[in-house]
Amino acid sequence: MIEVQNIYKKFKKEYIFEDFSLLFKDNQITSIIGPSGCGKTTLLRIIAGLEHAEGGEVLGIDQSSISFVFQEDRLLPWLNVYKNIELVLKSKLNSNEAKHRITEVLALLDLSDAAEMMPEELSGGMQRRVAIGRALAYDGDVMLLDEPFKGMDDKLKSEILEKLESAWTKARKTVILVTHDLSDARKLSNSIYEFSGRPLRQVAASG
Amino acid sequence: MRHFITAKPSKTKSVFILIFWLLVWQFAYIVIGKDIIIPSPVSTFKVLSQLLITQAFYQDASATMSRVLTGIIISFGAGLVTAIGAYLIFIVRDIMGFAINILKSTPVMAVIIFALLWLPSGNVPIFVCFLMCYPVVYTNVLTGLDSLSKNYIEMSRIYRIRKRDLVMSIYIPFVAPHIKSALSLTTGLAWKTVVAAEVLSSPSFSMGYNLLSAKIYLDTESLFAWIIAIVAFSMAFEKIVNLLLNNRMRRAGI
Repeated sequence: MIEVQNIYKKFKKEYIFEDFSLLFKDNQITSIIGPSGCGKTTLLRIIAGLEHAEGGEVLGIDQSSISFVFQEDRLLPWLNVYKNIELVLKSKLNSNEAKHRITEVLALLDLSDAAEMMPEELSGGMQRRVAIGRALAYDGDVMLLDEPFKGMDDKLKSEILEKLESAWTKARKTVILVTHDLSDARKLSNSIYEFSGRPLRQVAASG
Repeated sequence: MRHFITAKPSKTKSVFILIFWLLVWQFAYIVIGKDIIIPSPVSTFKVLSQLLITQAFYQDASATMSRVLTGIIISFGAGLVTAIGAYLIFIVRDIMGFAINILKSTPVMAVIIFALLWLPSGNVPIFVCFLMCYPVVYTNVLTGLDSLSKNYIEMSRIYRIRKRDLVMSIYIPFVAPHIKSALSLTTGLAWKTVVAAEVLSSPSFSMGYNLLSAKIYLDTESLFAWIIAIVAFSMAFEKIVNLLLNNRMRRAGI
């Protein structure tokens, strides 16, 4: 279980989290929904260790076993799809294991034919799938997804939701999904937290 | 509708442009009518062809070329190391920023005169070349490092990308175009500064010294012939360096 305990975080002079605590169950998909600027992404970044909270702590998480799907795809434009994924596996897997893992993930996301393609040759939806594939391939127990469906049309969104769900069924990682869309959260999650107002002190889970 | 795209001229076009400028030269020669001010293109190329069959010409050219190369290599070595230092350590950036601003505003002649007091004549052009090229390399590399998106660094932190892979797969591909641009800026600059320093320091083997002797003896044809040779060497050098770098970058997939 990931425990966010009594964290404090302020931007400029305003607190967005004040003595804020939250629990995320293992091997489940938990969604955080809420309007823009309410602190959803900031919380993910604190959990990932990309941002420091002024107070409090995050327990029950090994930061070397986190994968993160950022709002932007963050694919390296000079590496092809295969190499973009391989890059994040090099520290944990040998080249044979990496090859096996990448082949598996690309097949799962219908990207097998795109392995040799450069990011600029891919559509927006394919780039998103590569970013998700990179997070799935990484040897980690926790996957953080920050608005993975941002800017997608409904058809593409439902396609990626489906892929994500089947990938999760297979790997059963602990997933924290940040989204502003309640229907996406409902389709995918075991539980949902709704953020609203500032500063955030407490939220109740639903779903 | 007007198009402002400047395309690279074709070979035939380049030949015509060359002929045009040769005709302008010939015209200026006829109008001025004094060989001592502007020699004729024909006599200049005759002198140049005579130069090209002497061993001394190649000795001088190779000495100048090796000074250019040494100056560029030292500038790149120092520029890369200090730019990385400035990227990583804030105080290094402040210290180097001050020195770079001074170097950028210092006239090349002042540097040459200063170097003449301190160094043997053969090393003066290398030192001057280094001082003139180094700020360009430093600034370009640091700009490249600074423009590396924070997004990629965060991504590499999350996925625990190894330091070696971080350097090879993220930093180098990101900075390579800036290094290329520094190289393309410094090759021309290096030839200009080395030859200028050679004129003043007069090392025994050098193209610059030949410019000086031609001027002393009022041998304008030789002066023009040496200038043509220097420009040709400088352009060929820049082309070869760019070709090698482009091939290397293409092989690395950058």
